Amino acid sequence: MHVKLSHAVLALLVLMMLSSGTVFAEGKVPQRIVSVTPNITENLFALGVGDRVVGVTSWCTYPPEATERTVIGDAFSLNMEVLLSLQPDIVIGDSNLVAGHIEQLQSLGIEVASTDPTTVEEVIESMVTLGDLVGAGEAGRALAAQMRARLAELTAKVPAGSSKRVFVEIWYEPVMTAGPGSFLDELINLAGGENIAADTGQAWPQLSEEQVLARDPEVVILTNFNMEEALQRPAWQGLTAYQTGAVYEVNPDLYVRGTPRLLDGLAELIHLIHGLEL
Amino acid sequence: MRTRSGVLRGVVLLAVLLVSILVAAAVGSVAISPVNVGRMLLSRILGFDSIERTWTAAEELIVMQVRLPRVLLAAVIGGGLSAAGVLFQGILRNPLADPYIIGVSSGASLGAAAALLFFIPAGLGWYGTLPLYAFAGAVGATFIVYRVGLMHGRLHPTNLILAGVAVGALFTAMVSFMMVFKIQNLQDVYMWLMGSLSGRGWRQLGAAAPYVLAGSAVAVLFAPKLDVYLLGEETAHSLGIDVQRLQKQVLAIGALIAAACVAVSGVIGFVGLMVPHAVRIWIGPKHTRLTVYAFLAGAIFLVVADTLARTVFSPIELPVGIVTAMTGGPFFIYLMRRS
Repeated sequence: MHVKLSHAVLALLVLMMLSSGTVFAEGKVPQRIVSVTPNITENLFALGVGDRVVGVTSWCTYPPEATERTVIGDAFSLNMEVLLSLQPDIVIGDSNLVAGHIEQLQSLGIEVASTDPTTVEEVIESMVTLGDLVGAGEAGRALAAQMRARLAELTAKVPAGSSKRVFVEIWYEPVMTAGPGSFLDELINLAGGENIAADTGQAWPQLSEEQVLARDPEVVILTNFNMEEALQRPAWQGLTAYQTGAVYEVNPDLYVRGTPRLLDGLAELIHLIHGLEL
Repeated sequence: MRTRSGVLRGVVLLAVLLVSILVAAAVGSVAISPVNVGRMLLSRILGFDSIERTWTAAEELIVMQVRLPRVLLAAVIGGGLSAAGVLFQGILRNPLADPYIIGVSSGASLGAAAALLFFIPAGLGWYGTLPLYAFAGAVGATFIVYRVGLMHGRLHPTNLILAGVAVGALFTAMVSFMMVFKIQNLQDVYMWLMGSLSGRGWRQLGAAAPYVLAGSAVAVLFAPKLDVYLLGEETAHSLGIDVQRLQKQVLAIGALIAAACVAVSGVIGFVGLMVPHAVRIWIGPKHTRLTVYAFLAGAIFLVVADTLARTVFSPIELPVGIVTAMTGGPFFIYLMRRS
């Protein structure tokens, strides 16, 4: 019995060492962090390690302090020279973006890490992973707990049984919306809405204008600051959303970036769909 | 006398290429003293160990692992595309021919787009396989065009060009079709289609250079036959040249060079069309000289263009394909009007 217990303890220790990651294995906390995606930048600042972020992309606009950091490229292409001149201890990005550049960095012996959460729960978990990666494990767990609490608090306010058909416009010509696999689709569901593109099975599907009209959304959410143009579309005037004045404009950053601000987006959606003051 | 001035021009061109490579290695978005870059190159490449290390480790990483391989890759690709352009313009007897005319670029695009959108798994470690897909697409498309252009066992340049246009349109449409249905990773495809050397290093240079350099060397060997071929198929035949075989061989070499270039850099336009014409205006139509000089001039052109691409709007880098068309277009029009 004793033997088995000691084995279990040993196995647990080994597991802990394995899962603690290379950064801790070397016993040092990265002091110079480069972020190559806007959501990672936001999350690093949210974890309170913004002062250790030395490089960001030109798309990293939040929080405002992030814009004071050295720009090492955009979402499509990185300037390797500038990046290397920052002498980063770690480069963190999204493996879906600039994969070629990240692999080149890896081959040059630079520590790289990537996250690509696709659900709200994964975003919350990624705070813990990211926190551990940059030596802010405590902050990561605290932030995750805080996000979980806020998520529960918000969803508790959603009135039961009052679902509304929601259309989110990502683009107008051609009409593109958000479907299953996107944060937006999940947020609409969490907010007690019914995404009219739920049956498309794609994260960013195209719909025909006819389909939008046929599905008659009760709430229309615009993500391109194009309210003026959208309100003038002749064919759309008969939609329930237009008749009831339920056409809204939102800041897309709250809905497409995997950051704590997703919950601000959720709060806004609950407000817009149900008219609740939160 | 003519030959001597020709050789002199060649030496000048080679010197300009070396200087532009050195200058390009010395400038970039990060300021590193040219003196240090020079010392670094002497120490690391020519093996002068006695040189004192007056630069930082980061500077050495930037110059030796990022700038230098990228500049050399620009030289190899610019040279390769231009040499391939000479081959295609010659064998197809068409001034509008470029290295992409028989489907190389559309095939490579289809291969790369399919890989980025469907085949390459998400996550790190797989992006490096992209050139294989692009290369396979380029070779596959060329083979289809070749089969379509072959009539009763004979190749006709016009048929080949038309087949290239048709297959190109079909493949381009297929790329667009895939892009409509797969929105994720679209930016990767866009960047690839615009042609860029960003993020490329020794690995890509090692992959492309053997094909391009060997192909271009063989192209020079074929040059005298191309000169005869341009006098007319009858004449070439009567002088003992197997025209059918020559066409097939030259097309294969050109397509191989172009495919190797496209596979690592994406579609960089205009170099392979403009440089051969510009060089022909300058030194005349003899193919031996034309091929060598076009290689050197194309190398210089792309080294300069890529240096502009990575420095002008620094830290944001432009896809080099935009720079080649924007600078090359006006220059080409000027040359045409003058001659």
